Amino acid sequence: MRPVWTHIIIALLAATITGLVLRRRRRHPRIVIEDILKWLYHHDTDDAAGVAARIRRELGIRPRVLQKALQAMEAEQLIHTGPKGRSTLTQKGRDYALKIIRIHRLYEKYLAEKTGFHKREWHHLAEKMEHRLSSDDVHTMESVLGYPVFDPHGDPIPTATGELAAIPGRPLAELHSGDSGQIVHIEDEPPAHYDQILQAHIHIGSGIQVTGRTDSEIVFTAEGITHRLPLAVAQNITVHTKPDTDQPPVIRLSALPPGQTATIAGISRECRGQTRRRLLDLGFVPGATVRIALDNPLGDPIAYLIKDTVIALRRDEADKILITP
Amino acid sequence: MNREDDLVKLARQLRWQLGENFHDKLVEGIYADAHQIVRDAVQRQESGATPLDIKIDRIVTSKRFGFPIMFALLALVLWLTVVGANYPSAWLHELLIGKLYPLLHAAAGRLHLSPGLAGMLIDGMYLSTAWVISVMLPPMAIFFPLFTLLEDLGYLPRVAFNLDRVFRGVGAHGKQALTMTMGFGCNAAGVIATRIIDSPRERLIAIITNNFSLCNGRWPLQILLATIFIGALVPAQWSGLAAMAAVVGIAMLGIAFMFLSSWLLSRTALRGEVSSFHLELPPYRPPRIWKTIYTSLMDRTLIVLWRAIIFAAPAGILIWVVSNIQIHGVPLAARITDALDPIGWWMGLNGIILLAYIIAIPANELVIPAILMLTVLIHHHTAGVTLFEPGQTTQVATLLRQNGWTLLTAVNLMLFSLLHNPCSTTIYTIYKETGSVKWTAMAVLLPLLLGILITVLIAFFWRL
Repeated sequence: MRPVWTHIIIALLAATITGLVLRRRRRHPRIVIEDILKWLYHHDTDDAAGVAARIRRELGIRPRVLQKALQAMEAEQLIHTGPKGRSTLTQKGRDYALKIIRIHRLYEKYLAEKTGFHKREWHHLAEKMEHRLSSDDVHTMESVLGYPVFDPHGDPIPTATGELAAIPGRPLAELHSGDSGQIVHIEDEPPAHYDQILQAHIHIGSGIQVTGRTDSEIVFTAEGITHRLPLAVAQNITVHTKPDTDQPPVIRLSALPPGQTATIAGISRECRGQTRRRLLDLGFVPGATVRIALDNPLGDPIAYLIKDTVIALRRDEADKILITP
Repeated sequence: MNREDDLVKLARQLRWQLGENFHDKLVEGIYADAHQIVRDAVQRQESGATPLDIKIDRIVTSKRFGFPIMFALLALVLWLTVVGANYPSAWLHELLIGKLYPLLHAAAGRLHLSPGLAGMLIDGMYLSTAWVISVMLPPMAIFFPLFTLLEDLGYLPRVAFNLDRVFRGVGAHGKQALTMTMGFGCNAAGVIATRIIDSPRERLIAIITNNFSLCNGRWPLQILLATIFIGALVPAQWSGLAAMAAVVGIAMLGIAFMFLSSWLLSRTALRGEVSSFHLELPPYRPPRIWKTIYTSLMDRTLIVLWRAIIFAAPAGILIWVVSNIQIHGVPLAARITDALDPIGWWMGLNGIILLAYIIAIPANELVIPAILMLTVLIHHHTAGVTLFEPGQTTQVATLLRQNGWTLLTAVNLMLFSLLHNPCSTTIYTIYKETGSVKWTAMAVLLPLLLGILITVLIAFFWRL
């Protein structure tokens, strides 16, 4: 009854699947070169001896592959090796690196605006695509996105001619009690630190007020919520300090108590693409009044009364609408 | 020339100073202006939302009454459908098969049609179409208008509101509760109903997982098998209850698979699709009963029925042809089932069931008649068989047991009936709604592979 050929087919299928899972991709030499260029661009360090070791460790490149890549880059005049064996970028190398960074940041912007990928995934996806997109693709993408200047993390996107805006501001970790300003940049690396920022639901564009700091932590309020972050993590948040913050304090719609009426102050920069347009369409525009219409038996979503219409929003969305109570 | 260059350069510099979100600010400004103009220009009576609406909403979305009201209404709709459909189904059956069928044969005899052609047209095409109509039309003609009435009343968005938390947990939209319920009537209608979900990712999830709702065409098979094989496991006075529990259990299992696969899809294949949530709770309004009944009959019932007929008629011909064409004295069907038997054995089924599922891709209603007819044909060598009448449960039970059906066969067939590819009507609808071969293939293969995997696993452990 038990036919032999069924076993053979099952065995073959299992072998194919295992093979596909175990197959490891080896990085193309060009991708290795592009990764090294980016690394050199970001780490303008004088420490000659440590560079090779750090590149090997941080990019996960084997010594022989690195050796070959550096030789090829030297030959293409992308880098210049100084007297002590220290590699620096030539102008051509710098332009090349900027081109890759430009694609990376544009692609992150694209992911934020036009797709539903989670913030946590943007960086990883852009790391792959920056080596694959042609300059035509990039140009199309840029025009579709309306020639953006900053990526969703707040990093400036280099223009096609290689110009780069500067981010005004200082790391949050350097601020002191009483300082206030606006978050203009959130760094997405290293992942462990970025995860902590994501879990705290800290949004780019939020106005913040530092209320205290210790040797290891900084305490601040943003959009009505008090956060407590280790300094190492706060180092990854850039704040544009403004001396005159006469704007009224805003809180999130999700914090609106039942029975109270509030005025919409705006929609957070963290809310993008289709969701943002939908909220505007529904009437969540600056100046409109809003109050809670219905609680939910399971706690979420909550229904709000806006412009005589009852609209239910999940907590995620209500977090990104700012109100003045 | 120089001036132009300077101008472009200046524009570029100014572009930097505009900052990141000037597009957003611009749009926001336009909306805020519009809001201001409306406030200045439109006078209104001070009313807000009408108090009655809010009062009703406080009850139907309350912690205490929200869920009981919801389940009571759902149970009522299903009960009315199941019980109410029996009577018109019996009438239609009597009319189409009891009266018209012999008349057609008599007419064919008078016209001197060749027996082959008459068999193909009357025993094949007509009988299968008549069978589908009498089984499918009454439940749909009751279920869809009832559902549309609740929709028109404004109650259904409240159900989505109450249940959204549960569906959010698996990455889906609260409105999927509605499209899922619609799927219990008909998966094709359920897929069309996903138009109410305006977030692309959640809509695709609802479309792909709709097939896990045990549709109207699959309930008769579940009830028949549960009555014969599961009901027999317990003392006679409990058998009806045990069978019912088994069928409800399968439907619940379907819901569990819907949640599981929604969760998987939202985290794998669909995680890049755009997702945005909001849900409008429109004011209640008295339902326009006649208009509702008319539109739901036209839009949902008849369209679905028409598509089913288009697919059922050729399938009827196919069933007749494979059972009546003989190659070297062996019916074509027997050759195919012999070839399928090894695969069937692995899945705890048999070749006949698999062939029936291939033939019945057009409509799930055809599975039972096809299985019975093929069984009679192959094991009893009765020539020229027609679609079998699955009316007499005891006869069917004897026939199946004689041909080696066990409890394992019944359990696995009930599971495979839940977990297999959608019918061709639904597949076509999915393609039209998504416009994508990729997502259509996903909707077909996901339940099918799951069904094969689960039946193989159960058969394997059962035989240990």
